[in-house]
Amino acid sequence: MDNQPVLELRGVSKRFGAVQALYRVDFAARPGEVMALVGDNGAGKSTLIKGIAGIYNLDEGEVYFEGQRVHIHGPRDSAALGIEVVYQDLALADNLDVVGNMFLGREHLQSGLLLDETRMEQEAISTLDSLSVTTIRSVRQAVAGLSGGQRQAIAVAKAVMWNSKLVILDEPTAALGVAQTRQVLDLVRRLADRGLAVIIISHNLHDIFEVSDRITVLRLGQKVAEYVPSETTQQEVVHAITAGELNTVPGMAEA
Amino acid sequence: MKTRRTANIILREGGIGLALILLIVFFAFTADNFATLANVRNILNQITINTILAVGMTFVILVAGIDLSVGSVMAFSMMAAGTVLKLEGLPINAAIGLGIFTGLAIGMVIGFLNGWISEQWKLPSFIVTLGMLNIARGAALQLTEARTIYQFPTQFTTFGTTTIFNEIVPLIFLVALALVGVSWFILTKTVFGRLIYAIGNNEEAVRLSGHTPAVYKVATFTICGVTAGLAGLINMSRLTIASPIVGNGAELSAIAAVIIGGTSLFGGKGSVIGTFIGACIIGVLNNGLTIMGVDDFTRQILTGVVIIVAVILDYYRAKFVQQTAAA
Ligand SMILES: Nc1ncnc2c1ncn2[C@@H]1O[C@H](COP(=O)(O)OP(=O)(O)OP(=O)(O)O)[C@@H](O)[C@H]1O
Ligand SMILES: [Mg+2]
Repeated sequence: MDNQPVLELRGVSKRFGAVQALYRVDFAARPGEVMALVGDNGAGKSTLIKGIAGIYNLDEGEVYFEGQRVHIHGPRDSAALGIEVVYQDLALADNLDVVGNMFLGREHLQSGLLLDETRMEQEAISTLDSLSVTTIRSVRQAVAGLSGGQRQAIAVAKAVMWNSKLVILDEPTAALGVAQTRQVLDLVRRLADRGLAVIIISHNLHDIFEVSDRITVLRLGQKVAEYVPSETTQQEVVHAITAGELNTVPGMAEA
Repeated sequence: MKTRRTANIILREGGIGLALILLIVFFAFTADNFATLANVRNILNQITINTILAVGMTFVILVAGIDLSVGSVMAFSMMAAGTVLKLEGLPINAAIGLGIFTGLAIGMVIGFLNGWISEQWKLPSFIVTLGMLNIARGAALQLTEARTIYQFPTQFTTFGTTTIFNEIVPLIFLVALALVGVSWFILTKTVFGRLIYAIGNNEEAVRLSGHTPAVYKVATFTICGVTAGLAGLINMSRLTIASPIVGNGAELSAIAAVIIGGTSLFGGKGSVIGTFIGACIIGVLNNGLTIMGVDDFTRQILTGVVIIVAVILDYYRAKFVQQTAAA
């Protein structure tokens, strides 16, 4: 516990009309650790990470980054802090090549105007190499032709290219076969071994137990438990997901 | 890696370029007087306006939009600029400068409105620009109560009627060519261009990367409006008159050039080089058929056939590229 969190949320809430998507959630991510975020459909996992990324403004609560109170109002703010998100639908542009995607919206320039293709290409190659992503044969091919695992690898590599300190992955293995899941989980582990803080959302408890250092369970927008995999069982986690104890939310009918 | 990219470009632009060459060769052998210097000048003159409109249209179509108003905007810009040029009491150069400014500014404002209205209320640009087509045409007719404006200062009309290189190349064609070059540069070498392509494919990805897609989309409509204004000015300089009925249906020729050039109506795919070749194909086809004595109606039918064949070929080309990429 001497490992100071990179990111800490204290009592964050988010409401969409009548839906209390998050209610007073405390949450932390530490360097070198994979924090798993689990919960049933609609538990609030995606909402939580979108709050961290600044896509949604949180209604209440405090966010600390490296010990400092921060206010994140958009993807640019979170990126400036060193937070990178790999979204559920990957957010890749199929018509651009691998390099174009890895630098999308943050292209390197030369003489202030021209795209610096050579530099971007080199950095893309070296980032993929450093993550031991060997399945991508050319960084100049359009991502449209790539497999799900390759696309996921590019989205992850894109996230670590910016000296990021916290990488968040929303269901990175949901659409993948066994071998590709294996590769992506290895990749996730390597990120943490590099000293990054990693948050991973997944519905697959087997994967979660394999790759994570801590597990946070959300249920109906509330944090109901936090576990260390070696000290718990899948049954216990499943129980927390489906029947974890809730606090009463003022003004809401009991779920 | 470089060679692979070059190979891709050749695949993308080569097919259509080859089609153009075959068309030229065909007419050179079958149509008397096709392969003459005078006719080359004719063709270059004829494709200039469509090229300018189609280049602006390419920007809009790359973000999956469409601009049906360019023909009318061209006419409105022309009438407004023509009116300014004829203002009494202005020194000639001031009148010309003000006229050019008016023509471009009108195109720019209307283009901006097209984009802004579409984005602000999440309306299909097809509908918004269809409305604008009527508005701009009505405004063009209203300005002079449908009268044609004649007799502009020669300083203004010389530009549109001058040819260089042994009187083969019209100056106005060089303007169109420069526009193609600048647009190609913007679309392939700058962040703006990169984001245009990305928006056309996956707007959400661009939003998540911290940019506002609407800003870029409105910019493409504004560019398209400016090119329509430019087309109006150039047309006026070439014809030496300003007529409010000019450019009727010009939007369709421009869209045809873009589509024949391989740009996808769904956005994210295409190039201005393709568009330029597309405009050349339409121009050469019209010119060659006319010289061969084919009547207007048949020509129109054949142009339609070419558009459809072009998109069918593009379908196979896309498949082929995908297969080679996967291999
Ligand atoms: N933009 C939104 N507008 C309205 N309601 C929303 C919005 N986003 C999420 N919600 C609601 O908030 C709740 C939490 O949704 P969220 O997407 O965070 O769940 P999740 O845990 O990611 O679920 P899943 O496992 O299905 O991805 C759900 O009830 C959802 O319907
Ligand atoms: Mg989700």
